[in-house]
Amino acid sequence: MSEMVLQTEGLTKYYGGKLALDHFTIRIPRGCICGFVGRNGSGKTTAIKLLLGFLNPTAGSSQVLGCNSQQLTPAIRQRIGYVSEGHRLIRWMTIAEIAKFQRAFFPGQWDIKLFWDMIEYFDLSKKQKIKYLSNGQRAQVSLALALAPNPELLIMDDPTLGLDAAIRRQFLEGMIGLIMWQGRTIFFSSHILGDVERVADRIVVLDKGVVRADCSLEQFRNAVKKVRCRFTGPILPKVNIDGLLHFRQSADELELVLVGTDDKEIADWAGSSGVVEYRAVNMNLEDQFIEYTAPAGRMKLFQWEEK
Amino acid sequence: MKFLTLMKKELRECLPWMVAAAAVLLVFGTLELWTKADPAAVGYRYRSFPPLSEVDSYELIGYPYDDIGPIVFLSAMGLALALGVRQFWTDQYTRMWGFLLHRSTGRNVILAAKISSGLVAMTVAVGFVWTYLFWYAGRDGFLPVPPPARHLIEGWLLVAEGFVVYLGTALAGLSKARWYTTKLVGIAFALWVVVTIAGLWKLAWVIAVIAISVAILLCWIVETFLKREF
Repeated sequence: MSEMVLQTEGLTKYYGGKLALDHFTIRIPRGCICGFVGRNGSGKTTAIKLLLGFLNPTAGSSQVLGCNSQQLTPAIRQRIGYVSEGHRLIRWMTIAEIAKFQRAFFPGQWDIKLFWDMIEYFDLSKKQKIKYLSNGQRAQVSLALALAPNPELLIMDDPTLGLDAAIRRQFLEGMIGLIMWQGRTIFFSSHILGDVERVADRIVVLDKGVVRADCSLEQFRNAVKKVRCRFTGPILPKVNIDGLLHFRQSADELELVLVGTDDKEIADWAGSSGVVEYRAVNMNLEDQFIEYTAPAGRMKLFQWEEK
Repeated sequence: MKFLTLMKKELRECLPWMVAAAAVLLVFGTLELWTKADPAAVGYRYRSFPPLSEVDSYELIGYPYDDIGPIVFLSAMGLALALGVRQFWTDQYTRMWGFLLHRSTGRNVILAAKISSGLVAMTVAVGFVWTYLFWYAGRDGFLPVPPPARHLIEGWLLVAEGFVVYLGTALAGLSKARWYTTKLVGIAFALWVVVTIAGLWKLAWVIAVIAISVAILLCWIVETFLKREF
């Protein structure tokens, strides 16, 4: 069994009387790029703040690199890179000044060459002041600052928010560069599913504070299916198929959204239900996410386990 | 090293306010001293006493402290409020805490760097400028009678009062309560200390009140900061 770098158990957070995170339980193994997806207000930032010990949980516990999040020591923090939402940096500093500032906190592990290579790759100059940088440029500086200390674990809160497609791609390429070094783990939240699809190999789906999936991306991609069936006659076939999340119907068509149902089960059901023709609809990750977290299926929970 | 790096950053952020407070105190303080040293002003005061009355030399020229003291007080209070807001309120509203807190050092070091730089800023921008003005007033021949040494200490106590207000503002900045509930308790406590000190005559009592209130506020801030959610 591989070592878990992030592990939570029943993590729950209330803000006053409002439930933000409900029994959040995940296990992220070393060496993966994990996309943490959810709609706006689903609790992603709260979860990340709890993992980093900025918030105290109402119930439950979490461990990062084997250390309780509430007691992260400076030595453990030194091994974690963090890119905060909105790329908050010290505005009055230049890129060179902020690099010097950060470097003081990572004695012996700050890779000067890597930092300046990244700054050059992003076409920035060390004399540029942070306050005059665009959102995208600040994101690039944030990434370079987080990567320069060679962290074992990189946690990023919506790092591509507000960036245009070209900058996002450049940013993601930087991330992939990091994972090329063996043993590094990236946990990043996003609601841009295309980004997650491009770089992640694992996915955690959060919906209204509840974990709906924690599995490999491939497993998720294979599991969530949409099948469109055509049938004849006035009577609708009875939909009693395992893994049904929800269905929509029109005059002579039925659209099923299924989770974890294998093709044989679908064929068997189609054969026994008077379906004339059926076909699987091609879905990208975004379509799958939207279907999977649609309100109609929200009450149905599925077990996701790494096989 | 980490502490000094944090402190340098904090001091740099305090710099504009330090310069503003020092400039106000220096300009208005110097003007007051020049007015006091003007022979015409001394003559005016002299004429206001009845003929042949016994007059204390300080009554004749006036204490420099009486005129510069309020400027020191206002500079210290203004700077204290500005620094407290800059260091603890602005970081909250610009959501900088995440960036500041996630580093290979404890929260206590981050807080210590902030408060130490606040103390240094108050000392340099108001305390040192006041000391300079006091030295300037005491130069041979500048005033008919040099100011007494006790006034130097009284000026420094005004700076210390400013530090109390700084801590009160910091505490209010760290509070997550709404402004109309308990958020401003820190500032209210500091202002109560300032009003209390205004009614005290003995220097020892003033020093004691300042020391106790600084200790209370520091404990309060440390407790709040270490347990606070960001």
